Amino acid sequence: MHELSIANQILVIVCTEAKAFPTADVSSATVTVGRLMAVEVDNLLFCLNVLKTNYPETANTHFAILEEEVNLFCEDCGQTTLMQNWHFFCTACTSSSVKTVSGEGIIVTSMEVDLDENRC
Amino acid sequence: MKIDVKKSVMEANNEMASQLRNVWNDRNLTVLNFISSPGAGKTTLLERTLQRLSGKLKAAVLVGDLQTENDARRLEVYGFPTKQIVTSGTCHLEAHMIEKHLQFVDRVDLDLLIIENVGNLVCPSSYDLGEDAKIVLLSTAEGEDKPLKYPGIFRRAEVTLLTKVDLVPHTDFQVELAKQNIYTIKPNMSVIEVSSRTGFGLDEWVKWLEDRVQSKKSRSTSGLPLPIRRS
Repeated sequence: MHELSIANQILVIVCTEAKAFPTADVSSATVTVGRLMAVEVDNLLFCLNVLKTNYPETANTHFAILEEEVNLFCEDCGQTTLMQNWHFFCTACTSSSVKTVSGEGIIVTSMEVDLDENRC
Repeated sequence: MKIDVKKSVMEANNEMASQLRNVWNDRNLTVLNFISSPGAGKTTLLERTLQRLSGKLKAAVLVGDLQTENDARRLEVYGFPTKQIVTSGTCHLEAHMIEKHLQFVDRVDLDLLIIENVGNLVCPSSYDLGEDAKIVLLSTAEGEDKPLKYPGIFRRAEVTLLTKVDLVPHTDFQVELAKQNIYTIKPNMSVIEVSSRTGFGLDEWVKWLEDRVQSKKSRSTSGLPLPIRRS
């Protein structure tokens, strides 16, 4: 399943980053998903909540997903506009000479760690 | 305490893909990644393609499927090195799979590496394999609105092969509407209508392929930088 594989990769990234804070709990992590990645967000969250218990670092982590819109940079007029209705045209000048500048990745953006000063 | 991470889920795959791309560029090897829904006709189209390339180009084929080696068996009869990648459940090929299996088909003087991806219009779109171009197949047995439903792959592909056009008289498929939908997603898409059954369009398709291979070799010998392709 598409989202299952992605969820596992997200958890690997979070666990790797968590190694720098061995005494801390990862209380939350935020993932940004571009709309061009064809990821069903609720499905991804479900998979994350199922798989996170496989790793002690993420067993209690709250995951948040932010959806990133597809923005297009127009090579003719120089403006960056929001893609509308899956039409890859500049909404400012209607040119088709556009490049996608956002909405194409899946990024683990940030995480919150609770430092426990009392932990050895 | 908030920690900025900013790490892409695709980072490991993209790093491997980039390494493969650099090696292939150094060798002037053209690599094409064929993507479609299951049943759109990838393997049959490749059978007809390899038939026409025999004696003209030195090619090799990597084929991805969840199970069986059926497609590799079909393609290897045309005399090119062919290897099946059985994913055992993964619905797409990834760069590390290509790196692992390349050794079985690679030759020093290869002109063209064909990668037939697992039948799936979603996940293969997101995974860079180091290829020069993604080729998407859309068959006339599917709907004209397929490009609108799967914008990711139609945005990323360089060519759409509209397959099974011999069926058009027998279906309600509207070729011009399908093209219009493709151009909505990618205005400069090259669309080639083909029928593996009748041979229609295959000369045009194979010419495109031969020109693509020659173009890469020409850029290399001319000292021009090879295009940086975004996945």
